[in-house]
Amino acid sequence: MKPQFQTIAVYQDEVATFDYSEDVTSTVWTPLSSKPYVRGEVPKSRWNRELEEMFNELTSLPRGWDGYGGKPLSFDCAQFAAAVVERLFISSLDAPQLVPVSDGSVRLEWHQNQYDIEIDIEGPYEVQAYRRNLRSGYEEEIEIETDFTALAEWINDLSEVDQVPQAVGN
Amino acid sequence: MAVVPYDDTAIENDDTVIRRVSQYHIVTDKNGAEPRRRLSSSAFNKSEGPRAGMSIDLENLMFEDQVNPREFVITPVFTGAVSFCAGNARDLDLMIGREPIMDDPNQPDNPYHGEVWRKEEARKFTNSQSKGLQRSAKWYDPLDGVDNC
Repeated sequence: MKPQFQTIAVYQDEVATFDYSEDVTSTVWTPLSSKPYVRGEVPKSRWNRELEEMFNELTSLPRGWDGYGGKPLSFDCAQFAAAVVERLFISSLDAPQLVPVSDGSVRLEWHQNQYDIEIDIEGPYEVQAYRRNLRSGYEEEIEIETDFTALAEWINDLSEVDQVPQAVGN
Repeated sequence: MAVVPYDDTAIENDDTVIRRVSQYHIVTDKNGAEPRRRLSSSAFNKSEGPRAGMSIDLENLMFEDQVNPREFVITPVFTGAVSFCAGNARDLDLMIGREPIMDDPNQPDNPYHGEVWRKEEARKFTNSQSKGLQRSAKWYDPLDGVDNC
């Protein structure tokens, strides 16, 4: 079976110019201010394999899909969202839910383990994220351009809650 | 040409505002005793552009024209719809005004169309505003098996 490969930006100051295609075996990146070079490939995570069909569906939505003038998910937003999904992947967690937004962006959502996490991918390197801890009621919001460390910690917290033994009732 | 955002005082706080929602706005929420399907708060956000707003339909205008709102809002694209009061939006520091759509190549004509706008230019509503609208909203034409929030 042909492996599913995609390329991922290692340097966050690059602009993606690759095709999001399973037929790609090598990809030439064109960074903003240097010579083109070839990236290596990495396998897609389970999350992105599961979400590929939905990404395709959302980028193919007709104009007005929301009952008004809603735009389909833009390709650059979809590509960046897929890269974020890859960056955040944890094998013990379900893939995020993808929710299109009328302006052509997309949101990644998890609602489980007493957390709500909502990540708005507004465009490449334009991310706003929200988290609420339902046990404590604590809410927080962050804006992210290139450093996804905090988001990775959020997802890690989400996965760790699953491993907390349930208290036995009396 | 898009209307400059404004707050229409002819739209009273008790007036019903309708917001169409799509199956794509549904998420599964596993917090709670049982998993449930509900609307994402992303259904309550504005369109692209710093001065764009969130599209709505104004129920009173349809009644004045003897148009059935429930039939009007689910055509031509089948969607569900929720409603809230104009005052709910104003309580969130938002404005509501009419913006009839005529001769737009991207949308069918809609003389009952309005917008909910932020008072300042911004890319999106704040989280508080989106979630506030979500909490205020009730089903007007429900999507089967889906909670409104």
